[in-house]
Amino acid sequence: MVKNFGALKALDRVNMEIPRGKITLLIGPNGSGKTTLMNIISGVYKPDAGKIILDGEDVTNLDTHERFRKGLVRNFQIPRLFQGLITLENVAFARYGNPGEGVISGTMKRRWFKFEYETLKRAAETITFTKIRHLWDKKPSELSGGQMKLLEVARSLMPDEPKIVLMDEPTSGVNPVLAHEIFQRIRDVNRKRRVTFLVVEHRLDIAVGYVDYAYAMAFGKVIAHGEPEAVLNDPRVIESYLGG
Amino acid sequence: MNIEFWIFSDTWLILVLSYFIVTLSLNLEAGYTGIPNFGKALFVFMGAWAAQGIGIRLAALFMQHYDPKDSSLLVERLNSMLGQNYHSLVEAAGSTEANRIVAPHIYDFLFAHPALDITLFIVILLVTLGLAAAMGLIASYAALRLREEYLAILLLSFSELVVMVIFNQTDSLNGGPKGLWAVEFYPDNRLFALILGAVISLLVFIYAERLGNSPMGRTMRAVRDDEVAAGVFGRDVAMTRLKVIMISSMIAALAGLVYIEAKPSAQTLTFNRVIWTFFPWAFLILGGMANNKGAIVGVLVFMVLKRFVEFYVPQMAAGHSAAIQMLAAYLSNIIVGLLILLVLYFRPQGVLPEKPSKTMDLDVVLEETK
Repeated sequence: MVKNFGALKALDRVNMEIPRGKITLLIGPNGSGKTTLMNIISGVYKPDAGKIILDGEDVTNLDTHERFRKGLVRNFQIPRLFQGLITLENVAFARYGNPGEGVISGTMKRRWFKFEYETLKRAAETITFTKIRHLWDKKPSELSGGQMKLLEVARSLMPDEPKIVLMDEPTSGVNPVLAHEIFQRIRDVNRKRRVTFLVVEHRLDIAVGYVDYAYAMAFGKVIAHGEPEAVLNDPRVIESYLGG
Repeated sequence: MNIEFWIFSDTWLILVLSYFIVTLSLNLEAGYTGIPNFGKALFVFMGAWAAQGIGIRLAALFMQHYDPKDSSLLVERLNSMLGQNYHSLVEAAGSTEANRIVAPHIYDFLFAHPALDITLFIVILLVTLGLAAAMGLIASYAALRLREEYLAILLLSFSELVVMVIFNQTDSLNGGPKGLWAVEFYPDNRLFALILGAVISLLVFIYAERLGNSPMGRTMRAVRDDEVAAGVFGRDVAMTRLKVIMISSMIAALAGLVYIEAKPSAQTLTFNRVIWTFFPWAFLILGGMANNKGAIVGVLVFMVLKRFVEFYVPQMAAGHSAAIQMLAAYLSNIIVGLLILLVLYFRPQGVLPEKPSKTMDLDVVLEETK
């Protein structure tokens, strides 16, 4: 995978294989290309060279919405919430396939009532889990930074049957107790529904207990990968964080 | 028919109804989906054209077919009267010179043949929707590729180009600047327009409310708020915009049809940007974006206020200097502008702000998951 922004090599021949059914941690100092990689995998950016293979299928030329429909879900490091929608709607929107999403079918309530009811119920359960249930009728502008983050996490746990979920710093700005619970939940979803996760996280102390595999990046390159403990203790990784 | 109550008349009422329709359709685009359609005048005009340039010719064709004797007699008389050489009634009905003479005869023919009259009305309704949908498709080609500001400018100039240049300068399309007389469907055309306007407004309002409070309403607002995130969650943003533009264009054109039925002799430039694009935007900003009741309130507040100003201020200015009379004539526009500024400053969300899409009773659903 190659991506340049002008003269900056954001991603310099990155090759990564994310093990199916596992939780993979992606670490690296600021500016090492983690978020760029997330944006390329999800289709927000197009790579300059390289391919993205999802479950054996080349999805490099698909739009973001087509990748989502193939089972690729992501969240955003800086929450991109829908400002006009309340918390419950923001989460409910993340479930795709509502038969009422047409300019004609939308007016026929009988066609979408059941799906909508299930969606709202699940959205309510999801925000209960992320502890923002009491904020269900608030718009994003009324939430604190941490609450927005929880809403963003709730959204990425909402879709039906994802194959892989990309989480970009799900616990930044969240208190440690809740951060553990979020990782616990990620692991629950992973174990019960066999969903693959790729998690970018700076809070290594919290994350390391929940992940199965790890990649480390620096200056747009993968510098180490393997067992989480081994990657964290790799001298190159330590140097990249400390030496900068 | 002649309704007068205080300073309000039936033509005022029909204009208000037309504005309900346009503003509700603009609300679907701009309020819900964030599509800055500054070309509304064009789509409204499609409804007028369907009844004018196209409608009167179709009506002439009907008459020619079902009453060939009277038709050829009429053409002969026209030819000797105007020194022209029309070959058919259709040609005469579509010409700027003969249109005004032929139109009343065509009306009489239609009124005497109710079945044909109704058929023609349905055909013109379909033509209106078809033309608007086609124009919507052209507009959405741009809408899918341009950023907001560029799209607004492009749609504005597209509308200006088509209405002010192409239609206003080409006699064969809609009779040039004067406009062809539109086909009438009922002897009391204003009563007809009033009923048509009321029925369509009501249906459009119900439609817009249902759509706004459906999963589609939520998707439209998500696309408006963050198209990248909407795409990441599986929504085809381009397709959503396309659908909304198509349906809104069709609705806007119905407003043109209602208005032209009340004023069949309206000139082409009646369908200009100030009256059919900027005013609906003003109504929407005042009433509240993404709120259908807000759109209605916006139209009513503005139009009542405007009527007061237009009625009383010139009376007060009478006898004063030319400058003051000039100011009085433009006062309603000045007030409209001022009101927009005040609303944007003190209440940017409008009189009635946006509400969540009430697909069902959200409190109840929440209660059930406790």
